[in-house]
Amino acid sequence: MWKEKNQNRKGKIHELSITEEILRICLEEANRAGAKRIIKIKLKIGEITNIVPECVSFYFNILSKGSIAGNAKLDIEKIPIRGKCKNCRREFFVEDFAFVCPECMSREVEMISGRELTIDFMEVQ
Amino acid sequence: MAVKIINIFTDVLEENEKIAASNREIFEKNNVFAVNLMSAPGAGKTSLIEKTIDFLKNSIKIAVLEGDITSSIDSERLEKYHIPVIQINTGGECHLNAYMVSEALPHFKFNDIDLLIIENVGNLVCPAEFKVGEDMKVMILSVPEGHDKPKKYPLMFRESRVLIINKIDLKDFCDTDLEVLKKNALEINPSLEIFEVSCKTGAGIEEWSNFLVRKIKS
Repeated sequence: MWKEKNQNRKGKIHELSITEEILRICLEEANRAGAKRIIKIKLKIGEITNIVPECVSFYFNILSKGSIAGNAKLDIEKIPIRGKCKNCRREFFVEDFAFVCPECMSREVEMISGRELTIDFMEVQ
Repeated sequence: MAVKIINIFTDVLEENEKIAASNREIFEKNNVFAVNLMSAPGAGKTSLIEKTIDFLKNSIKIAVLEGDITSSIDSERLEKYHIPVIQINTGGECHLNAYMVSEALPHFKFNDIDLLIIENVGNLVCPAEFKVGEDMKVMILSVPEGHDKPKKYPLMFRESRVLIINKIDLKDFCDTDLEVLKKNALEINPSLEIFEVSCKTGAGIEEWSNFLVRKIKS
């Protein structure tokens, strides 16, 4: 039996890996633009994701210390779940995670928002 | 100094998705069907793998990638089947990501594998967030966990192609309403394929295994 052990990995919950990735992308972009300081980062987090914004902010404050993103403000916008009925084309907010069209009761509903986990823009100096 | 706006519009998980896509290419090139098996701890992932191997061992070649925070208890359980098993210990992380899977893949001899079952870390939250390159996400919910779980962990139900309701041998001892459970799950994901099984008695294993074989061959 093969065993692949990765015991050196630090224990993380997923918001930590995600926040590390946010910081990495932002620092890379800021560097490319020749920015000296990141003032604000705008994030969009969809409601069906399992990401807790407070948790991301908490980790961000710790991870960004000493970098040009230290003291940057995280502006997190929660994006509600919207669906579009494939049958009658109606767009609506999905409440209580029920993907059922309120117009024609069809279950053929496409999720058009709510799954976001994106860095929208940054304000830099 | 003037404030400048930099537009980014980047998906935070883009890097993970890129690695997942390259894992997927490896599976496709080698004709391997990959299943990402997810559930809460104790719902019966390893038991389902055992029952599936028992049922399919003469018709398809199966390999398993075991993901656990620590220990190799699950992969040791599978030793008796003499199939390729690789254990990944995440060392604390609550899910497998595409990178961890990509590190393990070179240890498999893919020309001898039809189906790779990737057993994710027991958790109904984080594994739903990270693709690993699978052809199909399958989740298990066991009867004692209750019928409210789809509403509490919607992403897992939305992302999965199959819901296996395990431990149906316990249904008379639990307050779980299976009809409500199925209704809740189908509201979140109407295209979910649902199987009621018992890894204890073997009920439903044939239906699930046959479905799996149809998917592999299609």
